[in-house]
Amino acid sequence: MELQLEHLTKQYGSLIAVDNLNTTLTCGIYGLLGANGSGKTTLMRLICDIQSPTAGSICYDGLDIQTAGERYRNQLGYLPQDFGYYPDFSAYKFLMYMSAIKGLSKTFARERSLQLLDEVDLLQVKDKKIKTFSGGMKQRLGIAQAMLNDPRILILDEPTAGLDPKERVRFRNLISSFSHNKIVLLSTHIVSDVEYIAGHILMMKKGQFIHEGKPDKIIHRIDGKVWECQVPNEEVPTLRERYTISNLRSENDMTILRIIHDSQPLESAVPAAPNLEDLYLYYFSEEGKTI
Amino acid sequence: MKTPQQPSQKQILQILEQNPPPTPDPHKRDAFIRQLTEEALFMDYMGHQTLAEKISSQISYMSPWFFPLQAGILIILFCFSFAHALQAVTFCLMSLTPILTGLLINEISKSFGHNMWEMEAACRYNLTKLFFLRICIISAADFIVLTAALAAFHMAGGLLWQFACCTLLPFFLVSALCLWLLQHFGNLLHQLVLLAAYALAALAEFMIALLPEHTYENLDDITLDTIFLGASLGAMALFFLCALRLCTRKYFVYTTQPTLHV
Repeated sequence: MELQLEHLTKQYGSLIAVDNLNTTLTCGIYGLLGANGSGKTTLMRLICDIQSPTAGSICYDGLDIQTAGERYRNQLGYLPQDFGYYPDFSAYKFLMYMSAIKGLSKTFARERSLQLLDEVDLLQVKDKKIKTFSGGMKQRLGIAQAMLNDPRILILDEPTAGLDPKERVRFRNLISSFSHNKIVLLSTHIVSDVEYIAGHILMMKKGQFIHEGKPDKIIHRIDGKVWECQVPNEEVPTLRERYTISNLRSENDMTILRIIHDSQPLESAVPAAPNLEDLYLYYFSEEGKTI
Repeated sequence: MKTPQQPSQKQILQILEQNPPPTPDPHKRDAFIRQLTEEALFMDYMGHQTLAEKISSQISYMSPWFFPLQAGILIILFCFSFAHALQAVTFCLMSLTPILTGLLINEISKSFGHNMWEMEAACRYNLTKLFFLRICIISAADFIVLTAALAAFHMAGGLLWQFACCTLLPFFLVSALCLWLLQHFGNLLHQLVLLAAYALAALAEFMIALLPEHTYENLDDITLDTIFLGASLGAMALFFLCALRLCTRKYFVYTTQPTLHV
């Protein structure tokens, strides 16, 4: 099973949201990392057949998804970044509604909805109106609807937004157990969400993939660019202005800084092993500073 | 007569070793795999649903006030018509037609109003198909309401052209306009569509109602029937054309432009 993106481009007037992407997704979990506005959501909408590309194509096992249409969407599960609910629906009714438009039979839908409500810990409140739910509960319900038809391709846009740490761990385990023999594409700008479960990372900037590969491979691109040093507390504000700091920890009058910079920032700085978060900050620190 | 001796297992293996299987032509093999994949993809493993099944699966998910409100309109109309209060029935129809239009547009476009469109668009029956199913259900309900309203109007002593003038014409015209707006502006326009529906329906009806009686004095009922029924049929055709275009347009998802880069 593979999803092939060939010269995929999406343009809004003169703005290029997705710029000539070429890659092949096979079974496994893919983490799509990028700052806001980097084209993640547009890419996901293109893969979900919600929007049509300006140029290029997406092929599922060699077949263009626009030709396959309904048959392709049959195998698709999607959780958008920003979504709402019909206020008069209960959690169970919502899943039954989504099952109906996914073309599932009522018998299967009933069984599957209850199973998924249990998995996302909402079975106790299945008959309560969604409008009474907290943000995290709504998010979990959104994840459940994406998995209703046991999709072979699961697309999740910022799935952990609004989840507390315990729920995020639960979500990670759920996705890991679900991902066998499936393509899971998970978009986020929270690096820790994908660090442990994604087998592949796609890093996106200005509509293009700037890096793609296994997490432990791509972090070596910034070998020698991560530094650790200990400085007096009063020097920290100046250093924060000058460098990208990925972490800082206070110890008495001193602060231990983790700095990302092309060259040694201070004489006392020693090289440190990079991680995915450092890589992300290395490429997206400019976007971070402007926000 | 001697029967031919069966080869032993060892002999069979020897024969197989001496005759290795032919290497498949890689092009033919790839083409065959592709064909199998395509067939597997097109196998309707979730089962085929008829149009009636699809429609019935959607009826229970209409807004809870949709059917009661339409039933309420009918009850009010029949109460007045039994009392032969033509003016009351006419006023009632003119006030309730915008509500009928509002109901129609609100129900069709509720995916945008409640921000469900993106989830629905990625499903097997995507937004265009969902719109089609909703239009089928609402059109059927509206047909019943309008037919019953015509009966009530007739019972109260009203004429056909008067009914067409105060109900059918504004209803179809404004609904067609709203569907056209929905087709062209989609998720960006939900609230405006509703407001426009109400405002235009009300405006159109009051303008017609304000026409002085002598405007029609020189025209007989048959001419008036022809004019207003013809106009209503034209508006109805426009409505169905807009509905058809909304349900057959493949991509109608609108996004605001990305903000960061060129």
